[in-house]
Amino acid sequence: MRQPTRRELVVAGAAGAFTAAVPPAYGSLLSRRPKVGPGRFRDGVATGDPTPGAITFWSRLRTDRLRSGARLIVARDADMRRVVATAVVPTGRAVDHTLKARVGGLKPDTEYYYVWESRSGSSPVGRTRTRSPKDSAEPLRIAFSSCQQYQAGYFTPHTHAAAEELDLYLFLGDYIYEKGRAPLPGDARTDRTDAVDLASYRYKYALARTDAGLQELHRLHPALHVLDDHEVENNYSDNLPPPQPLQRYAGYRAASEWIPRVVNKRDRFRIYRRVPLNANAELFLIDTRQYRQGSADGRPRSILGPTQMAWLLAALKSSTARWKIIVQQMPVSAAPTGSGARTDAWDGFPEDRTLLLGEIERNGIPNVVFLTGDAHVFACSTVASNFDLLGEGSVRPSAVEYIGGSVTSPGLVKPENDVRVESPWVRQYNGSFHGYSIFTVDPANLVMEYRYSDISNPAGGTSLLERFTQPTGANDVIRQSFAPIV
Amino acid sequence: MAARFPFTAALAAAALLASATAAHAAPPSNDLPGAAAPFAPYTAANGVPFEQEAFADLAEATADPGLVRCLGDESFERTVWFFVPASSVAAEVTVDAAGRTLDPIDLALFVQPELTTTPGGVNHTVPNACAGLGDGGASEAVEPGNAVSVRVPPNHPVFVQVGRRGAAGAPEDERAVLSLRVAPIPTFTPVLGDRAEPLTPVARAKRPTPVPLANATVTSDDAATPPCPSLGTVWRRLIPGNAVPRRISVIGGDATTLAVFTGETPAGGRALDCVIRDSPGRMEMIVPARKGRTLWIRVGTDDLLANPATILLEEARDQRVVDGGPGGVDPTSGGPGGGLPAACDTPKIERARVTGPRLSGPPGRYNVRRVPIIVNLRGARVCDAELRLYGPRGFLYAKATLRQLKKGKRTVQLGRRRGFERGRYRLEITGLDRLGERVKVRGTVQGRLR
Repeated sequence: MRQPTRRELVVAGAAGAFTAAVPPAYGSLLSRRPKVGPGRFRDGVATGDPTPGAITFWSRLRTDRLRSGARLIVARDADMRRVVATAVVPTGRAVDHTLKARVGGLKPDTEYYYVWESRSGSSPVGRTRTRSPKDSAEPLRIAFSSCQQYQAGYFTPHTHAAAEELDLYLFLGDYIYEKGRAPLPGDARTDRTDAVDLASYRYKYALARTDAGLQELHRLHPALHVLDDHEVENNYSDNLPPPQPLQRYAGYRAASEWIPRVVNKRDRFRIYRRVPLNANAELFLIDTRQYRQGSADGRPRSILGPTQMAWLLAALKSSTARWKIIVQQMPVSAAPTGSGARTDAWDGFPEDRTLLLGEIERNGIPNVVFLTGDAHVFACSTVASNFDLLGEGSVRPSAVEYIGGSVTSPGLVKPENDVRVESPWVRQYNGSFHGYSIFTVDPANLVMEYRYSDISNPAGGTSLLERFTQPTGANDVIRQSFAPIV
Repeated sequence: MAARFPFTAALAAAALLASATAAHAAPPSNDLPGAAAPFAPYTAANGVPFEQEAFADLAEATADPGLVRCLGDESFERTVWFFVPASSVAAEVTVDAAGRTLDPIDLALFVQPELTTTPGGVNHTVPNACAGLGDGGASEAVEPGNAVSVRVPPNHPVFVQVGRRGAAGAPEDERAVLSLRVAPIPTFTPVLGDRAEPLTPVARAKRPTPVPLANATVTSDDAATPPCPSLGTVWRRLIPGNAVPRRISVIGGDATTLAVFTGETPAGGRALDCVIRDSPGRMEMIVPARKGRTLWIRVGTDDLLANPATILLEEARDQRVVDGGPGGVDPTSGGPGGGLPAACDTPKIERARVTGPRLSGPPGRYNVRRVPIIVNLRGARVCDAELRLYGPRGFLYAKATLRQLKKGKRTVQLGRRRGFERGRYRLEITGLDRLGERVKVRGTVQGRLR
């Protein structure tokens, strides 16, 4: 018999309390509660948006039925004996049969295991972890990556990241690529589909999740996500002109269905927010795509938009965490690849960059770090509001930017020395390799490691490429290279 | 006089404001079905979309008096209308809606009779499919989605009603972006009993009735049952010759829903209940019958190439179905499908404990058709209760199933399964726990018959 003293927790998996008084007319029968139904778990499991007391759990059913549902079981042990929460989660075609539940009442800094059950079977057992308390000074170990073009290679980096001991994994955008194409020489895999509507965007996520490495990463580590352009359209932003509303909705909806992130109930498109981790670090997730202005719309140029910029500045000033980590899409440093300005990145919006970095300098906000995706290269740069003076060495850097490589998407191959001639603030550059990055933060240092992987082979290896040690207050790095510098 | 000017000005300003508000409050052009708006293709830089889009601006929309609100009285408070032109081939039609906020959106589809050309359609009072809060599906998810799908025969237009609930918010929050996907079904042969009409085949009273399901569609005859949706349905009629309740069972894994209606026609009548497939086995309900009053049996499927199902009918005096039968689940409380009551949404069976007088006396006292057993249940009710009386050599001597066994002392009647004899007996009670699994209730009622 089941233990009668199961601890009851707050489970917000479904709005089960809906009871409308309906006359017994034709067809006005209303459902009392969600039910467990048929469907198999072929797309893996995932968790996201951990807080000290809550986590979002994800999976998906494969079924032809219009509606179904599954039961989530969360336990303290891998054998699923010490159950701490259960929820029956409804699903259906309207959400691509994805399952999402936010479970609260969990203990901080604690490992949990979970499984989903349907009438057709069970999912793999997943593992996740709540965040440490806000006042904790425990070191944090976090990995991140971006830009996983399906055709360009296997997601081998994820296989190796999955095996790491991590508190959190960050996806910095371009989780899917909306464009399909005929196979090219050297392509590892084929994806001919162009995503233009809800069904085709959903297909892209399903395709990405066929990769065993990505499934394993999601199974074992809680994640936070920001979205970039390819989740909708290449170099998409709202003022270029914007894509059609349905395409934009379709891109964001498919992302929210397939990604275990909490969607803002008042604005499904909003990404930017603060995520306090503990006393060591706070994350600032920002959105450099949706709120751009100034491209032929008569307004001042801005990559963040005035509302988000004001929010970010206020958030940075008020943060009490030692390390203030800005999680974002586009390179902040000027000419980060040594090939002139990247106008789609912060280079194209110098006013915003000067404002942000200038405010950091004027207010003496210490230990600001940018984690950046999009560029498909491993690079590390120091940044300041005036890059000319920074290049001359006449001002100190105000922050450090880590561009953490792409999972598979091809980058600009260029000798590091050539990049540094044009952009002397660049401390390191490698456009050849693909992989992920992993860093630890403690009160004394931020230590960042770049790892590169063999993406031509799903069983390929991973090696250490670079290690950067950034002491507190330095706004610069001590570099150790573990592969020949090209 | 000087003091009156500001007052007059204020009145004028108020009048202006009122007129401006009135102008602003004009309902959208597609507020009524007669002015239903079309969907339109859209472009994308990186390909050609298969879907079409439309925008439902619901801030100033009004309700549709006289229409059944298939998702409850609070649903469809403000509605607008769209139409999907008839296709020359059968098609699967899916309408999806999303807003900037995650507030509920109500969707209803009205399949029109063949070749309807009336601008507002002729069927806009009886929705044939509905999706929204209350349907038990994705609309109830923590991040809800809103979509409704039907398979329609050739040459049948479809009208779409889009609604919101509660007080209107800001226009940008009230707007819903709709997508329409029409997937043609090139090879299509109508299935027998696709319509609910006088020519609909009658289900056999004494023998199994085969029901082909392939190519089933939804027509204007299908009254929506939101918790039990199907892409297509097939009908059979039953005209009882007496007033004995009928157990209606459906066998066949591709049959995913069962619904029963009464009345001249299903759409103009009453849905008695509906059941959805949960696992292999029969979906069942026991419906009240009246001599000569038609019962409309609807079997639904989502599979275009579904294998046939079988309907079984039998008279069922003093019998009861619990939660849709062995292969079904009744998503609604009570009714002929035996849906569990709302109190069973969060069962606390681990707290339940049953006691009662010792079983005693001669075995012959128990050799009756309905075996009375006194039980006293404390702690919590037991949902989907199964009571089994085991006796000598471990045989089952009597059993009963109840939708719920409430707290307190009562006599329950168990159906006798074999002749009682001397020996020890014990009553075992099981019910559903929070995981939906069957577990035993602590405590026993037992004794020896001499």
